[in-house]
Amino acid sequence: MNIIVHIVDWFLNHSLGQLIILFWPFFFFDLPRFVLLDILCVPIFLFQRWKDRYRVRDAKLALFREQPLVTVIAPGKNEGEHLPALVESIKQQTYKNIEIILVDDGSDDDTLQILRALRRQGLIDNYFRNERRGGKAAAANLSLRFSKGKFVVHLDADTHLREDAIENVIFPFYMQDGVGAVGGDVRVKNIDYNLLTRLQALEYLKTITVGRIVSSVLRILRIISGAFGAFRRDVLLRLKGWDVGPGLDGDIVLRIRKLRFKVLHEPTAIAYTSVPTTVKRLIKQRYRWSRSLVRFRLRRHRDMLSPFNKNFELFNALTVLDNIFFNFILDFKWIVYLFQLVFFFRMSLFTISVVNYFLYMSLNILEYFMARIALDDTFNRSEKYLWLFLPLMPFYTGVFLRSVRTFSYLMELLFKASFYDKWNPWKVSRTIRDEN
Amino acid sequence: MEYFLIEEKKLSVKLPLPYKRIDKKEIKDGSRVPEAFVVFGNTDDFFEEVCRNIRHLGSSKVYLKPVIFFAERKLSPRVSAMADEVFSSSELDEDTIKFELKKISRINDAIRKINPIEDEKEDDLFLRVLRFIFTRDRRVEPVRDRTSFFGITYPAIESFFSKEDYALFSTLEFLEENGSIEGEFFEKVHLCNKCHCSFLNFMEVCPNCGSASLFEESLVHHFPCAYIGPESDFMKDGQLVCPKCSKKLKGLGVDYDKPAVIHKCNHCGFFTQEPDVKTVCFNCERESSPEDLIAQTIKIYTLTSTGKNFAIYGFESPLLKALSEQLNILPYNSFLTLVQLELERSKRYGVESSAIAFQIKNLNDIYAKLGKKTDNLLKEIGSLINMATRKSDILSILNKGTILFLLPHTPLKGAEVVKNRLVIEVDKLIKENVGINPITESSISEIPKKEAKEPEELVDELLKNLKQIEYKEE
Ligand SMILES: [Zn+2]
Ligand SMILES: [Zn+2]
Ligand SMILES: [Zn+2]
Repeated sequence: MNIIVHIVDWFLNHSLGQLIILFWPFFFFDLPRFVLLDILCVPIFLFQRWKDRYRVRDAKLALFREQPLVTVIAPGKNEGEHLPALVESIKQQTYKNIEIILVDDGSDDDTLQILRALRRQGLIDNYFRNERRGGKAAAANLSLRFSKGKFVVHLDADTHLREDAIENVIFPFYMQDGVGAVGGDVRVKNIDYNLLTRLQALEYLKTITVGRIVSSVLRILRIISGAFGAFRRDVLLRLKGWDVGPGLDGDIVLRIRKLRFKVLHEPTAIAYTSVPTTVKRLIKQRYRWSRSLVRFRLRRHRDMLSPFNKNFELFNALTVLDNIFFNFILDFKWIVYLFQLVFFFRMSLFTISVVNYFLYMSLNILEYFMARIALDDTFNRSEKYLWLFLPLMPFYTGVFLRSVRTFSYLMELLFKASFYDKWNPWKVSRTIRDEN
Repeated sequence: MEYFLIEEKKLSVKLPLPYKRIDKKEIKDGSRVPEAFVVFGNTDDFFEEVCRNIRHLGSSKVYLKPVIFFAERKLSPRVSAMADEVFSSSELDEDTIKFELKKISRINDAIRKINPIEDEKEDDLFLRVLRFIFTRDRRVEPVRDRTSFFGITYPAIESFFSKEDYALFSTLEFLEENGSIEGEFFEKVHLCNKCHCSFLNFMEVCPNCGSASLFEESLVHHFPCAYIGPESDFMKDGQLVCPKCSKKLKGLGVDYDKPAVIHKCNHCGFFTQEPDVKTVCFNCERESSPEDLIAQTIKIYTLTSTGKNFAIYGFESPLLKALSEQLNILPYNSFLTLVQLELERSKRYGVESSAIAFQIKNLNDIYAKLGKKTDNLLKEIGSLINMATRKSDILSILNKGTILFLLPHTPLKGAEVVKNRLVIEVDKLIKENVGINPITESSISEIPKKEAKEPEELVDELLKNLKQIEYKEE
């Protein structure tokens, strides 16, 4: 009781201006970037859906009339145990003209035997294997080299698809011209495993499910998950496939946009992926993700930002800017904020933290219900109960993930660490390092 | 004691042994039994043929006899191993031969131990082979031989079988299974699953269309740009140039590597890294995948003490062994006593009872075909008998394949039904599971109410009347 009285008291003693200055990260950045944009974009999305309902139907009709071959590729290392479930979910698809090509990138477990068995049973069309690991890009390119489909759907081996996922990820190509790639929504498969997976499920709903609806409404979609994305094969061939590196999922999207193809997000095309179940593995995963941003957005696509470059296009530039700004520069704002609080508001530190907690929790609540409003009919039982865990989200995203992210950005900026990262096989990292 | 000499050509030197010259056509069962057979010749084929003729004789007194080869030239290891003793014709001096002949008399001693060594026809192939192994008292060793149908053979006992007869292996397996011999792993050979020939062609074929016309090349992975494709993608004026980034490749391991090889089918264009493997039998042209071949384990065998016992006294009937597990099988003598009692009961009280005899004549063929799996089949037969008979019925096994039934309180008509049902079921079982036509014979007899009869008489009558049942055309 005392605490509440104390906080109310504290509020009354500050003017609105003071409060806004005290909570500037929330009011100047997170509120407009997330809350306002969500409130603006989700209704636009719903309106567009409603307006496009006949065009969606016609696009699906056109798809099923043409029946183009769709190649599904799923490169991976030591992913054998996941493959039968993946293949099974592909066989269950409402869209049937699918070719499955799997690549085993130097596995040292029984993946190869599983691939052999799958082919013998006629469940997959072909498989390839690199005796020595070549990295994710090379494995995807190997699949691409031998694919025959008009479209190529890239999946992570540990995902599986909702039964209408292929249909839904392909029809947008038939809805408008010049679409080069379509990303699907990625949800968490092992939600009920433990608390950590539930929090990640909420995070995915927030950043991927809602986040990508917003980015696509704003036409600044910058990533198609490797976990689930569809590409026109001819476009991939023009690009000669994926390039090396961490962050290749985002990289290929930017290169497609440079060719002036549209990149869309289709929230009803849903893949489920397994997320890390231990803190240690989660940290490792995020460490990798964060550093790829610095490397590929900042270093490689600088040209997209220059108006003098022949590749310049406003939305592409915004895509890169948004990405750099909100993910990278803003990530350091909390250090500044922390300094500000510690040095100038040490006395009210607790109160300010509590208020921040409630502010960010409301933001999470809003995002979760935005996702429900936009896509409620695609939510499964576990996803519908996730709101129970919303109170923990500010700790998860605000403290835990932020620390991991900042640390990895710093490492990458200071040491170019990803060149030495285990993520790429050493031979690939070495040649890139030499060339730079 | 005299030796029988069989010549391919006239023996030019004097044989320092008492011998009688016979033609190879005169090798047959008869009253005259030699100490050993001496074969003189110079071709492998001749030695092989004579040896096979001897081992195929009926009388255990003769077919087990030692065989000595005198050869003018060096024989192949396989044919040499068929004989108990091999001399080259240059070694024909008396002392050597006298010394070596000790072995011949050892074999003859062992033959005499076999009980009862009457001049009866011994037609159980397993027992013949076992007795041979016993009298030779040495390991049965496999010999690799390119002229052999199986690529590998057991020359010492090969003569008991016709050429290309897989029973050579299943016989040894059977003997190992029943404890007569012990095997020690030697190697595995792959045999055609149709004809058992080992002369097979292994070829890589397209998994998509089965064509063997494949073009093999390396995959090349260019590290800087992650392009990966067949080497031919990179070939440009005799140099490796990356089709993605147009850079000239510097060196293997420097900026590219070859992570795998890939095969392109010249027939359908399918790419694969792992072509299927197909085998074609050079003998019968059967195509199959390696997994479907028969992987025959070849062992070196030695006689066990059980085997020694079996060799001397004969096998305990496997049929008896298998049936005893589920049925109460009486010894033949007890069976006869009960028949005697039933005969008296019938005469005194007018009880209607019957007896049945049932015989699987080609049980040996079934063993040869099934090897160690025969036991399962016999157990199945046991449960069929169990279903067809009542608890009060009395069973006995006469010899290897004949089962006798005494059915008290069963008139002839009822016994006929039981008999026919049993025969039809067993025939069906064998036909479906073994894939050979069973030869089963059966007969029934009434226990007479009026006339006096000895139990042995009744059994004789049953055995005399054994015949196959006639299946009605459906
Ligand atoms: Zn082919
Ligand atoms: Zn290249
Ligand atoms: Zn064959």
